[in-house]
Amino acid sequence: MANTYATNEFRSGLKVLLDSDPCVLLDCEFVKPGKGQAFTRIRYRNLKTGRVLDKTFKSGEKVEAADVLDTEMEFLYSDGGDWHFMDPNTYEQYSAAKSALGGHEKWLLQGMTCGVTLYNDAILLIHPPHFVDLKVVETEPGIRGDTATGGSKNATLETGAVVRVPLFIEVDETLRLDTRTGEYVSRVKN
Amino acid sequence: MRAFLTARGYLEVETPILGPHATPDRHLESVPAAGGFLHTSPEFAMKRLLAAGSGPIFQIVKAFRAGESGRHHAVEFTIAEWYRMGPLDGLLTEMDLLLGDILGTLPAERRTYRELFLAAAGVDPLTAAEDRLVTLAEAHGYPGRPDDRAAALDYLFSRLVEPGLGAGVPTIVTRFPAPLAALARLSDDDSRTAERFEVFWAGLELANGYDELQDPEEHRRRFAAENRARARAGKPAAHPDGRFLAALEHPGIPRCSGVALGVDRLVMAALGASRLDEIVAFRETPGD
Repeated sequence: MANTYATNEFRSGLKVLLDSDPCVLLDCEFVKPGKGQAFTRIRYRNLKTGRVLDKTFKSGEKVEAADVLDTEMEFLYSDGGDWHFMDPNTYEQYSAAKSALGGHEKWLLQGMTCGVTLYNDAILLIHPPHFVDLKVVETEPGIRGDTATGGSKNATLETGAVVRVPLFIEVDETLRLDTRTGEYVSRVKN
Repeated sequence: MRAFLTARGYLEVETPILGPHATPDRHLESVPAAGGFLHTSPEFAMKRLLAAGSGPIFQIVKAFRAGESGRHHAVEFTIAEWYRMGPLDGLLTEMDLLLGDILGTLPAERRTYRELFLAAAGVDPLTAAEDRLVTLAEAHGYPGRPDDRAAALDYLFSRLVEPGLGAGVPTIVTRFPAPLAALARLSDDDSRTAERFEVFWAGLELANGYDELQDPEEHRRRFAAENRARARAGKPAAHPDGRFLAALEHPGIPRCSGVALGVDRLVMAALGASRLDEIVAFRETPGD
């Protein structure tokens, strides 16, 4: 018997199955017009698609809980098709298909600790750290004395990611990147 | 509020909070207590006083509704309820003055349910086929299929009309469709509408009132309809207070109008709060 939640147990952050997908509740509101029927209105995010949607329930309705767990894992390696992670507590290994990476694979470096959303004990989503430090493996030669003008150029990082960086950046320097915006933040002293 | 009502000749009364009967209202659940139930409003007891010849009366009292908990709802809350002789006009004029005193608002705009609904939904709530209202409610996200005309109307009104009411000045919605009459008498000039009103301020319902139904037979029919709806919804039947029904028969309640106002919501409105939590010191009632 699957675990369920009734509308009076709805709280933001609750993980439930809606439209057969794992979803997280963002906002819940009890509404009762005049002398009319009571409803619970929710706003939720579909964890698979990332879409935010609204839905109304009759008060007392139940929804199935989604077996969703947010945890942290260490990135091991990619074999080209799958990305492999390890739970640092149990040493259990999990593999994730490209769809779970959501384009974040370009920030992943061996040994890096990532946020992982597990759904039914399989990886649903990977959340890289907000900031990562990565080494530049290829970029045009730096132009000294041009730090003030704010020009930029492409740099290829050790993970394969290509980012815009200031003109003074050189090969082998380590950079701090914001994975949410994909932007260069600063140089990091080696 | 006490000073306002006392100065206008209302007598303050007290009626039991714990009684033997649950409310038959299909959408309200009484809280069981000590072998009986806490009242969901003092309506029936106050009408027994009216039948006994009390004249205009008011009460400010706690009421309890199981399962109602949210931004604008609490299981335990405070009702101000008052009754005066005659049809609605006098009551609505007083409501304007009371809200003016407490909220500093100008007299309410008065709009019929029909004109508001028609403007927002493009459908006439009095004449549209039930199927059309049901389909429209489904299109606006009703969970499942509304059971009847009343359920579809209530849902659509709350989604499409209520959020925009009471902007600038309060709105008094008048002449509710007959299926939503509750315990209001039907309009003399149109049996498709009832003399029920609601008061809104900033999208929030503050009060609900009636030109009170007097006919005992019609009361019995409406209570029976509530209990049929309760049975369909799998809720326990609630037998109406026999003493109330007897008082309706003899001596009967006088022609009067009454209103129940949510005091917590009025305080929210006066202070510009958006949640009950901002204005109540305790939010610890079980189930809330």
